[in-house]
Amino acid sequence: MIYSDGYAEGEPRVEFRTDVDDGGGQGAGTGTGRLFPLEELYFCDACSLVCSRYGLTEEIDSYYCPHCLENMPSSEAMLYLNRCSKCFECPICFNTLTITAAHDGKCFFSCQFCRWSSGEIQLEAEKPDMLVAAAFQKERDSPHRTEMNKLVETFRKASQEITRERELQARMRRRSITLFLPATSGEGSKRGSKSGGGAHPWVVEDLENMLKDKKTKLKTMSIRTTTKKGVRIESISLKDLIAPSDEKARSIAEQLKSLDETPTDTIASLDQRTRCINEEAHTLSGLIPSRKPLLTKRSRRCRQCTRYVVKPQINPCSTPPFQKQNIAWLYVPRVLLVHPNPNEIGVGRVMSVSFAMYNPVESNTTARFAADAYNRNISEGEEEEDRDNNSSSSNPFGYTMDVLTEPFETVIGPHNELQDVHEGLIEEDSAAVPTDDNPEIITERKGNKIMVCLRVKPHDDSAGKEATFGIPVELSFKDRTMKEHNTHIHLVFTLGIISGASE
Amino acid sequence: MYVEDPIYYHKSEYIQTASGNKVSRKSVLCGSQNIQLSGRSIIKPGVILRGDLALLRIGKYVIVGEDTVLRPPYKKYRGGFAFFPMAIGDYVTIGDKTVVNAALIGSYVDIGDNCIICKRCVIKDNCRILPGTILPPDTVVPPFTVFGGTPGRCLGELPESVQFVHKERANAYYRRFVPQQKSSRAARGT
Repeated sequence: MIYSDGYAEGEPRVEFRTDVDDGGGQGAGTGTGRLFPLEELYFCDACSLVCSRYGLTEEIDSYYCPHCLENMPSSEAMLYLNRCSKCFECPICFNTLTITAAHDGKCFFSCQFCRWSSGEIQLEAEKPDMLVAAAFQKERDSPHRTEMNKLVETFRKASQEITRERELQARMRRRSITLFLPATSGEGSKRGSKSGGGAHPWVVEDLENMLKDKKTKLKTMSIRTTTKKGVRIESISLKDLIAPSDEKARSIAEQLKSLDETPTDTIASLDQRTRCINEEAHTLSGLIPSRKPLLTKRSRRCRQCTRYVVKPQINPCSTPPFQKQNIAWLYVPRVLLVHPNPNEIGVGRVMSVSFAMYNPVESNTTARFAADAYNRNISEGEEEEDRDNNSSSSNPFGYTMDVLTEPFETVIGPHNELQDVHEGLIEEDSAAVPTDDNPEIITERKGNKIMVCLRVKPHDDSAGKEATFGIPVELSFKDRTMKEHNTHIHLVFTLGIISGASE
Repeated sequence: MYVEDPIYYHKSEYIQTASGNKVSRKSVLCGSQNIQLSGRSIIKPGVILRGDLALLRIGKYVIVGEDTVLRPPYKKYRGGFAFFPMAIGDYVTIGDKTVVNAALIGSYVDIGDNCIICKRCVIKDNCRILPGTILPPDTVVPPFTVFGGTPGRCLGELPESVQFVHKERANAYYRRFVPQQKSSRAARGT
């Protein structure tokens, strides 16, 4: 699970809309797509496509323990039930346990955070290896696990039997179809059945009967018919709880009152119980240490061309950590927003939005901004209808602002790796980039950075909503191998909340 | 992410070394002969670096927040106890009011404010510790993970681009951290 801080409503930000079929080559999905920051996007260099993790397939390459960092293949991980064979977690606070030796020479697990000790549950041994083996054995000997293993074994056998029967039936059906082929080829089955010959037993009634049987079978297999009916949960009114009127109410009330007497600090929480599922312990004293769950190293492939986009090293701590790492950060210009003034965002007020773009590739990147692509073009007649239904054809993503700047094209200078190291020492090669910029749009240009200024205006009916607008951008650049790429990105700007007052 | 304004400091409050380190005069460097700063690092006011206990090796573009303590870890033995050197990689950001007793902090790591990293913790490359986390002794933080809570637990994974994100963040902070010019001081009325 990728960790994300998330955004507050109206928090100024720039995101990328992916997996959207807008006719611009991003056909990884349909609908309005999803919004991601640039950090979470990938770039397939084979099909020049910017996509999110949903546009890629994931494969588990290896498993490793987050504590001892030992990696293991999937077969070994399966054998240990996807848990580390050496590292154990505290059943109380889930911190990794350490093995401590007591003065009498006995080893036990101890938690360095909550001071829990395995001596409390009589889990001690002469040597650390023996202690690990004892904990392992305790997990194996759990009666619930033994019972569950028996059940799993029974169901596995039953499943194998059902599969075998199905296969046999399918084979028989195929065989009978082969036998009946002459009947279907115009000979007439009734004649065959009438004659009583074994070669042509097929009749229409047989087929109808077969379908009827199938229907009844399906009916009997339905969960609804097999579910136990009449399960009732005991309930009690507040009046009965305070002053029970009958015997039944009295017994329920007594049960509930007995809960008050149980000391809450000894009851295991739901999280503690689920982590220690073999024991089903209700109190803390019944919990035993569980082995640490393994983490995975995963590679990602493009859904369209099935080539690797990300391929990690097998060892979790190797440097560099990836064999192949085609992340969008290394190909797509980074966009940084100049923090907008929230007082300027108001209905009917034209405001300017400035942002910087940094080119990450070592060649010029040509960017074509279709600035007005999602402006709401409402004619007089359609106005009322479109206001009711904001998802008009020109604004499928429900943006609340129009971009007044005309579409434009610009070139962003190449990235120089030494720029950061020798800041100010390297002369920027301004000759490589044409300088016929419109100063109202491209306000500044330096090295691999440009500052862009756009004029935007909120919709008349968007007071109180998030101020958002989107711009599709077509990018052309060359990668390190001098391969040319043409790709589309869809920038989504959120500026804040639109105020209703206008001046 | 935003294009952010510069962070100004008074030139008299910091010492800038030849390799670009900016060390606050209000920080406490104990056993300075045992403290190695690779360059372009920022040590903020109130920071305590305990080089007197063991070697403290700090990489480049390391930002240490205000009132933070970097203290080499120790281990108790039957005969006494011994301190181990502490190593911090490159492009590491440590927040304010954090206590670090780790044995190793890798590169491209982000540690939040008000954290306690207990003794002998190992924080590998490309990971993040959320603000207010307490990492118990001997905790190992694997690469590309986020740790948070009390005690610190793995809360999720980070995307593959985290190395570049953390590098850019540390780099940008150093670029923004500039001495206050006379003109900017006059504009602010100081």
